[in-house]
Amino acid sequence: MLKDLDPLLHSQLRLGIISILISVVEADFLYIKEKTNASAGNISVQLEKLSQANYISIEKTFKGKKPQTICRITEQGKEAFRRYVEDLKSYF
Amino acid sequence: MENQVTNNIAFIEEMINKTKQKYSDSGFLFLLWGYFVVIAALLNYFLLNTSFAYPFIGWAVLMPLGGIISMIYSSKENKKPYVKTYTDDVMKYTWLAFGMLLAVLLLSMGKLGLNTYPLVMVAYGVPTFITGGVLKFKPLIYGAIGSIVIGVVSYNYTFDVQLLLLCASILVSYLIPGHLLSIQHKKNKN
Repeated sequence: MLKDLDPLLHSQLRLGIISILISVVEADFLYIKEKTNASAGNISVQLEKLSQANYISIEKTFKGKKPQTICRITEQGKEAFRRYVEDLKSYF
Repeated sequence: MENQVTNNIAFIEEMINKTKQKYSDSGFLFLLWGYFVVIAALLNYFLLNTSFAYPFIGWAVLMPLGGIISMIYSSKENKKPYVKTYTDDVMKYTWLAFGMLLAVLLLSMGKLGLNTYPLVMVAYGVPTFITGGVLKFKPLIYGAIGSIVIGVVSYNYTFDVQLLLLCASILVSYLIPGHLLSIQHKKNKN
């Protein structure tokens, strides 16, 4: 039976962000921007949505004098990603 | 729908692969330290055969200079987008452990005497071997084994010959892998 896909991860940019964060310990906003080629505004919105769902945690800090946003995937996010990939497989 | 599912799986793979592109550009520091150590060791070797009062001058000048250049390079790297991978953690603790061991060996030079450089070469082979394994970069693994073998062989030689063997060890474990990493980085860029 075909499973409903997690709507939060079924957007390409959010899926991209989660795919990046599942492979690393942590990454900053610039790294995510560089790898996804998305606009800063769009990434900010999607990070906020993922954070509200508790899929990722966001830490605002400073690198020298510049502000830095560090993102990490949460256990809940890892589980959601694992489930999403499993659900995708059910379509084959 | 099936098309979209296939696209999403390909997209996940693409994103995960992008996070693996980090280590190909780490050749610069390998080359910098490799050449500095070789120059200092060769200078030391040649000055030993002269009446010059400070045959260790190369080490005294080049090692701090290498430290300064490394710091400037690292601060420039810091301006780049930041990411910490699981590999970073393994590398960090492996090389920190080697740094501590190296400090102990050099501080014990008085007691270790002629065994110091051979021990450094053997000890250096261990983090290099781990790095090669973690990065799946075979030249580093072979270089590490080479460094250990040269280190063991060098126990039987006098200090001046040990300096030349140190250069050989650096060549196989630093310089050759460093240049190969650079070549790989340029290929990845194109």
